This record gives sequence, structure tokens and C-alpha cells, in this order.
Amino acid sequence: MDESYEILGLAPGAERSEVKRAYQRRKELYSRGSLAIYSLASESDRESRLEQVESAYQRILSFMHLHGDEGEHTNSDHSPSAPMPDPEMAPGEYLRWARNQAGLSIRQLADRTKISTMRLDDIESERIDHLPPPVYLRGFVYEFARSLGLVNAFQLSEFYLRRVASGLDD
Amino acid sequence: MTEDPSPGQPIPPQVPRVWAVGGGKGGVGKSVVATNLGVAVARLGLRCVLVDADLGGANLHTMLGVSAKKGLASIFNHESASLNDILIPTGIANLHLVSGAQALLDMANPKHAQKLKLLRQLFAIDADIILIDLSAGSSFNVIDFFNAAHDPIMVVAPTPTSIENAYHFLNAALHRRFMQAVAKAEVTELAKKALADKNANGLHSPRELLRYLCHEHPDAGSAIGSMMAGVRPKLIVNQVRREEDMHLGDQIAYACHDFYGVKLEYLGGLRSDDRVVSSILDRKPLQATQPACQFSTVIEGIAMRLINRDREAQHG
Repeated sequence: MDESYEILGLAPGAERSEVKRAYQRRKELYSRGSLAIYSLASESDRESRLEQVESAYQRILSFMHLHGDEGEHTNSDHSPSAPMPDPEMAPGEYLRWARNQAGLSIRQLADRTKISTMRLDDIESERIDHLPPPVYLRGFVYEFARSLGLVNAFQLSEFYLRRVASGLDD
Repeated sequence: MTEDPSPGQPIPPQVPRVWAVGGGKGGVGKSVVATNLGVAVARLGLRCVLVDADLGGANLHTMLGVSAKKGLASIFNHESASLNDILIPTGIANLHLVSGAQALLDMANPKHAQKLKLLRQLFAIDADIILIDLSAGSSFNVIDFFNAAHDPIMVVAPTPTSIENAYHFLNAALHRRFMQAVAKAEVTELAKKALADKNANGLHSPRELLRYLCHEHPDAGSAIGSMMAGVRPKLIVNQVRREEDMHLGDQIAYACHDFYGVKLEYLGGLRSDDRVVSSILDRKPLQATQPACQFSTVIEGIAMRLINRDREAQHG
């Protein structure tokens, strides 16, 4: 079973939504005329890799079915309908809210951003004494926001730095 | 996080972090990307030195609009003892240039000892980030600088020719790194033998060779494996014209995983922009003149990511 996950580029035990995404990506990668594998794979190599991807996906799905993992569900620990915090006044809270909206745990976001869970939590909680200097902090906040697909990532990093500079005076 | 005594004061890293920009094909915008990344780093408040290692076709000085009186050539000639002596101010705060201009024709292929000396000096420049612009091609002279960098960055354009050269370049870089790891683990003979009848063994990539070595010599195999696991090349896709090619970088990363077993990190895509061409004509980097345009903000985002990666790598 681990091998099937490996074929999709996943760690064993990845969640259903990740499996589905990985499958779609690999299917695209090994589609006819794919630029990203130009010169890497011959036509027959491409076809056999596509077949491998397909059967790996089917194996994982039936494995999940056997283990009672049926539909999609988010693992948000907050109600998705929680009110949106003001990104300017409370950028940390806003980031936590946005992360919960995306249905991601801190661990999942850490995997995605390569920023440690502790650091992400410090940012969300606006623990000013634990935060790195602005030149780095800006990038962390930007990366955090960007990986959630927020279009205002740049603005948010500005808000955050301003908030830190003001020493969270409240 | 005890390493951060006070937010507000950037802490200079103990040694400069070295970024190298390569990628095989000429004309994909390596120098434009390197120059603008350098300006972005400087604007973020870190001291950056751009090194034009394209001795056969140096032109970073032109992109920055400065004249290159002294460059790497004077190191090879022994006119200057240290790279710190030949730093050219660029007119942009925090940004200096080591020019590759005025190199004599035979300098494009420095001897091994010269190359090692230059590498040592690069890692000793007094700055936070050293950003090396490599020349096109996959010669050892290019690859050794690419492999030595903390952050090796490939630049590709979304064309079959660029992709083909990039994979050739990456394969050459990985192979060289791999054979060095093999030598270190003292299994060169075993690897050579395996490669000699590679068709019989079905060994077409370093990944397959590693699997073979792990089977034949588990200790050496795992030592080499962990050395190779530390290889994290980065990728920037430049000159993007079609919207679907904004995802090409992610796909190349998946392909690198599948074919080379390498975790390549896609840093971002840069849309083709006439302003980039104008900025070269004006000899002023876009990052300095129009920091708010899309090209510049993407470059700035990439610079921030790399700076933070470096910081995580240094402080754990």
C-alpha cells in the first residue's frame, strides 16, 4: 500500500483530499504532450506511468473504502461560519481564521509552508516576544497567507509588521 | 526561540548564504532574475553581493548600469587578493557587484585549483547573501558552483528546449554530486562496475543506481542516500506567456520526484513582461525602479522565502 502512496508522491496515510489532489496532478503530469516531462519520458514510458498512477489511485481508494473512510470532511476545529476578524487590527487572528476556513491544521500548514508549527502558532497568537526580526517575519507572514491562497498576502504582511511595530498597544 | 533577543534588529547570519542561479539554457533570463533577486534582497535590508560568474559573457554590470573596472579577472591574475577588494557599489544600498567582465578568453575555464580558491573566497565575502549568476551550459565549472551553493536555483522558460536543457543540467549536477558521495563512501569501484553494465542492471538514473548500491552495500548506500536527500534544488519559471504554464513549475517538481527522487522546490512563476526588456535597455533593474509591479512583487516574494528558508536551515 505504501508503494501506491509513493507513486502519487504522498506519505503513507495521506488524507483523502490530498490523495485526490495528488492523483489529479499526476494525471496532468503524464497527459499526452505534457511539457514538464519533455525529454524525460518516452511515449510508452509516459503511458505506463499514467497506468501506474491510475491503479495506485484505485488501490488507495478501495483501501480507504475498506477502512470506512467514506466522504470528504474537513477537520476544522472552529465553526466555518465564525465571524471574520479585522485583518488590519488583528492580523494573527485573521490568519488563524483563514486557516480554519481552509480546513487546515497547523501541522498541515507547516508541511505546506515548511515553517515550524511553533512559529506558525506564534504568528497566529501574535506572541510578539517570540517573533523573529521584521526582515524575516515579513516573509513568514507572506508565506503563511500565500499558502492559504489569500490574495492580500502582501498587504497582510504590512499590517502584521505595523501591528508588531506598534507593540500591540492594547 | 531564544535566538531572537529583540524583534526590530535583523540578526546577521554567521556566514553568508550562497545562492546560485543556473539552469542550462542561455536566454531564459538567469541574469535578469539574479539581478532583480539581488536588488530585492538588498531592499529587504540584507547586505547582498551579486557575483557575475559568467566569465565568457558577463553582463550584470550592464544590467545594473555600472562600469566594471575590476572583476574576477583580477583575482585570477593575482592583481587583487580578495573578493572583498573588488566589490563594486551599485548605487543601490546594500548591493555590491563582483563583475565577471574583462576576463581574458582562457579564464572562462579556470583550473580546478583556481576554482576551489574562488569558491572558498565566495563563502568568505563579508555580506549576508552571495548571489552567483552562472553561465549557461552544464560544464563542471558551472555545476560545481551550483552544487556548492546553499540554495541552487534553476531558471527555466516554458519551452521544450529550455526544459530539455534544464533536465540535462539537473541530471549532470545530481550525477556529479552523487559520484562525489560515492567516492566519499569509498564504493567508487562498485558504482563504476554497476554503471559499466548499466543496461544489464537497468540503471538509467542516479536513483536506480542508489537502489542498486543500497542492495549491494547497505552502509554505503544509506550514507549516500542521506547525502543526496539534502539536495534541494529550487526552481523559477520565467517568461511565462500562457496562463497554464504558471503551473509548470509544480509539475516539474512532481517530475523531479518521480524521475530523480529529488525534492525540487518551485519558488514561483514570472510572467513575460515588456517592462523587463525596457529595464535592460535602461540599465536599471525593474526591482529598483518599479518595486510595485507584478514582476517585482513576485521576485520579492521569492527573495523573502529564500531568506526565511536559510534562516530556518541555520537555526533549526
